[in-house]
Amino acid sequence: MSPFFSNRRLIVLLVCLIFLVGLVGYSLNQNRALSWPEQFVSDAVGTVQSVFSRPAYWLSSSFDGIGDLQNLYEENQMLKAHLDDYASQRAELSQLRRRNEELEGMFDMRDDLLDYSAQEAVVIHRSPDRWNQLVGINLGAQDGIEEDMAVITSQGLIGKISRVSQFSSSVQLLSDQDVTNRISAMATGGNQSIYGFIEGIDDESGLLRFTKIDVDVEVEPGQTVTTSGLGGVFPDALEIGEIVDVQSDEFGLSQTALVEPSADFYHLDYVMVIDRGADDASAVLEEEEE
Amino acid sequence: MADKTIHKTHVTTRLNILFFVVFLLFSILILRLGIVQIVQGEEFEEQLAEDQDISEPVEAPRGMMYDRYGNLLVGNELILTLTYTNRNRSQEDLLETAEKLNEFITIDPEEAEGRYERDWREYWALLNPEEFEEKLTVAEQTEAEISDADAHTERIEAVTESELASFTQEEREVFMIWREINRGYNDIPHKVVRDVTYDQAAQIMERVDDLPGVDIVRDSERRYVYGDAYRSIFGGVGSIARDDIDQFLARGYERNAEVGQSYLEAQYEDVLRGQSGEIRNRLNEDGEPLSQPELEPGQRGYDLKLTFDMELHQRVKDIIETEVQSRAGSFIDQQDAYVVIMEPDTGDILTLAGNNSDLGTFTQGYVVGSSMKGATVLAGYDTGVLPPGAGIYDRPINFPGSQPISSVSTLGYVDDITALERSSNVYMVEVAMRLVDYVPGVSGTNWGNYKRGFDILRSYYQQFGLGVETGIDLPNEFTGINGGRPDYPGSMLFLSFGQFDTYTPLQLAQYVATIANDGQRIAPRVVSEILYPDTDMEELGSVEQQFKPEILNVIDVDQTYFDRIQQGFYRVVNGDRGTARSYFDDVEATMAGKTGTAQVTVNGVDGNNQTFVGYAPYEDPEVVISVIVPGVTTADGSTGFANTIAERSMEAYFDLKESRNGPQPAPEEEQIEEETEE
Repeated sequence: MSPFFSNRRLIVLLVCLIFLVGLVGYSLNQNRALSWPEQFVSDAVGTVQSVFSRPAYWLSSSFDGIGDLQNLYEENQMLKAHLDDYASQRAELSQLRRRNEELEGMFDMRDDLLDYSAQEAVVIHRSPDRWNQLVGINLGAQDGIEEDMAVITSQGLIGKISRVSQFSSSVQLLSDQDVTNRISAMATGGNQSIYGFIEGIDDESGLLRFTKIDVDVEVEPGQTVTTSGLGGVFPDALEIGEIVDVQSDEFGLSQTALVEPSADFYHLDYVMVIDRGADDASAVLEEEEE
Repeated sequence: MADKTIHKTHVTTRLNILFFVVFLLFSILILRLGIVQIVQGEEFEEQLAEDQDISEPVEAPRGMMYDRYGNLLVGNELILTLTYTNRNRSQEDLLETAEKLNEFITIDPEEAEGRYERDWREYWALLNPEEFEEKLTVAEQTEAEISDADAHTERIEAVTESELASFTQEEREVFMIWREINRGYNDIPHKVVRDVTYDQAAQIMERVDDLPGVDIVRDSERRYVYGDAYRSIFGGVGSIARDDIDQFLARGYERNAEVGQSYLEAQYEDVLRGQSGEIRNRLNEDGEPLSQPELEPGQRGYDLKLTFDMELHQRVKDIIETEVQSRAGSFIDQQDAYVVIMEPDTGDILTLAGNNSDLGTFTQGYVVGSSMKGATVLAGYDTGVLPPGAGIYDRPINFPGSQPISSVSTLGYVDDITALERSSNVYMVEVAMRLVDYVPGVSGTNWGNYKRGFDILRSYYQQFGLGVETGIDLPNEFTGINGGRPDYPGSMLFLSFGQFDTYTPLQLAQYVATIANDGQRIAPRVVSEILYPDTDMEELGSVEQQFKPEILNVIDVDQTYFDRIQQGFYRVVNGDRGTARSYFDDVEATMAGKTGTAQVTVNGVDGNNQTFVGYAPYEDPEVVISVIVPGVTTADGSTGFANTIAERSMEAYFDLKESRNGPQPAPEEEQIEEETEE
C-alpha cells in the first residue's frame, strides 16, 4: 500500500489547501493595512529592486530625451509655419479692430461683452483615456488665465478652462460627456434668432446636442450655431458648429438639433483663450463668490 | 492467520479509498469557494454597485385637444423650469447654493411675510451659527442632560423677534430659495421656479457645475390657441388639492404633479395624463454623476379629439354678442343668451355657447315655455287621452279659485299638429286635465288625485332628457329644478306647457334631438376619439379609441306619433300660421322647430324667457339647435330674440358646410407672432 494515501497525510494536505485558499483570499483584499510579514517582504524586495531600477530608469529617460529633442525640432518647424499665418491674421485683426472701434465710437457703443481679447496657447498634453474630455495648455494663472474662460480655435469654440495652475491649465472640451458641460447657444435662421442650449453629446452620432428649442420655430440643417452670450460665462458670437439634423423630442414639446462642431477636436495644437472684459457679468460673479 | 490478514488489508484498502474520495470532494468544494470569492468576487461587487443607480422622473406633458376638423385647441408650450435635486447635502451647502442662485433668479419674499415662523428661525440659526450656539451652550446642555434634538428646539425657540426682524432684503430673498430647495424629497427633482426666462436659464445653465443639484429642465404649460374660447369647458390644470393627495399618490402620481382640476381636464385625467420618463444616474459615493445619464423616454398623454366645431363656435359667439349688444335694452338684468348645436344621430356637440359663460349651457336651468310642448303631445298620444288627430276647442278655461288659462289668443278648434304650429296652451292643459280625469266646469274644485299627473307628465319628459342627466361626458351637469308636487293643482297644468320645472339649454337640445331621431335619446358628447400622441406636430395621431354614440333610451311608440309631432314642428316654421313663420327663410335647408316664451319675474319685473328648439333638414335631420334667451322684457322690441339667434346660427352652420376658412386664432397670439417676425 502506497504511503502517499495514508490518512494522516491526506488530512494535512486538506488543511494546507484550506489555508492556501484562505491566504489567497486574504491577500487579495485591498482595503487593509499590510501585515508585518508582508511589509518585511515588500521592503526587502523593494530595496534590492531600486538598486537595479534606478540606473536603468536614468538610462532610458536620457534616450527619451534625445527622442524628444527630435520632436521639438519638428514642432518648432511647424510653429514657425503657423507664425506666418498669425502675422497676417493679426494684421487683419488689428485692422478690423480699428474699424470696429471707429464704428463703435460713431454709435457711442459702450464697452460691451463683444469686447474681448484673445491669448494664443499651445496644447501641451492630452491623455488617451480622457481624449474627449480634457486637453492641457501652456498658459496658467501667471498669464491671466482664469476658470471658465472660453477656448477657441480659428474654426470655432472648443470648450472652457476648467482648472488653472500657475503655468498651465486644462480645457474642458465640448465633447466631454460631463452633465454640467452646458452652453447657452443660438442659431440664426431667416430673420429670427433660435435660442437653446448645447447639452452633451448624442450617443449614436457623437454630435453635439442643441436642445430645448421651441417647437414652433423653424430649425433647418445648415444653420450656424453660435454662443448667445446671455449666460455670462461664454462671450457671444463664438461659432460652435452647423446643424446637421433636427428631431422633435419624445413629447412633441421641444426640438433638438444635432450640431457638427466647426472645430476639429482630433487635431488640437494651437488654441486661443478668450478673455472677457473685466466689467462683464462673469467677472462680477467671480468677485462675489470670493 | 494469513486469511485474517488478507481480510484486514482488504478492509483497510476500502476504507482508504473512501477517505480519498471524501478528500477529493472536499478539495472541489474548497476550490469552488475560492473561485466564487476570489475570481468572481470583484464582478459581483460591481453588480452590487450598479444596483445603486438612482433614477428620477421626467414629467411628461399632458395630451392635447383638437376640434372635429383637427384644429389644435389646447396644446402645450415649452417653458423652462428650475429644479433642485437634493442628495443628502448639508444645510450649509443648500444655503450656499441658494445664495448663488439668488444672483440670477429672485423669488419675491413678500409672500413669506408673517408666515413660515419656524423656517425663519432655522434660517437665522444657519446664518448665525455662533450666536445660535450661545443660546444654549454645550456645557449647559450637558449639565441639563438634554438630547441634541431637544437642545436644538430650545435654541430655536430662544431666537428673538428682533433677531428675526434683522434680515436684510437680500437675506430674505435667499430665504425664499433656500426654503424652496429644502422642500423637495431626496433624489427627486423639485420644481423651484417654473417658467424662468431664457436669460435666467442661460446664466444658470452655464454655471451648473458651481451649483450642485440645480438643473434647468423642459416643462410644459397649457396653451389655448383660441384664447378664452371654451376655456371654462377645457377646465383647469394645477397642483393636486390637499384633500385628494392620498388618492393621487395611490395612482402613482408625484407629490408635485400637475393634474386636471375641472371639466374636460378632470374628466379625462386618466387619458390626458402623460407617462413620465426616467433619467437613470450612476452616482459615486458623493452623489456626483459618473457618466451621462440614461434617458428612458416618457410619453405625452393621449390626445383628445373633441366634437366641437371651433369655427362654428366663433361664428355663433359672434352672433350672440352682436345680437345681445344691439338689443341690450331688451334685458331686464343679466345679458345672457345660450346656444347649443348638436348632431342628433351621434350626440356630437358642435357648439356650447353662452354670452357670459359657455358652462351655463348645462349648468343653468330656466323655465323654457312652449318649446317643450312636443313631449306633452306625446304623453297625450301614448296615454290615449288625446290620440293623434284628435282636437280640442281652444278657449280660455276658468278654474275656481285661480286665474284662467288661455293661449296667446283664442285659437278655436285645434288638432295636435295645429296645437304645435300655433302653440296652444289649452291643448296641453287638456292633456294634463284628462290624465287626472278633471273636467273643467264639472269637477269644480275636486281635483281628485291630481298629484299623479306630475309623475305621468315627468315620466314622459324624462324620456326626452328633460329633468334628468343628459349623459354628457362633462362633470357638474345640472338637471334643472324639479318643482316637486305642490298642493296647488294649477302647477301641474303649468308643467304641461313648460311654465313650472326648469331645464338647461343642453336638455332642450337633447329633447329636440330625440324628436328628430324618432324617439332615440342619444347621450351628448364632447369627446369622440382618443388619439395616439404623435410627436410629429404636422398631423393628428392614429385613433386609439373611438367612442360609439350611446343610446340612453328609446321611446317605444307607434312611428306615426313622431311623424305627427315632426309635422307640427315643420308647420311652426313653414305653416301659414306658424309661430316662427317669418324666420329661417335664408337657411339652406328646411327647418322644423318650436318656439317658446315663458313668463318670469326678474327683480320684481315681469319678463320672458325666450326659447327656440329646432332641427334641419326636416326630411333627414343632421343638426339640432336649442336657444335660450332668459330675462328679456315683455316689450314688443324684445320679441323674436331667440328666433333671430337661432336663424343666424343655422345660417352660419349651412354656410360652413359650403366653405370653411378655419377658425380665427386669438388676437393676442397674432400679435406675438408679428412681433417675433419683425
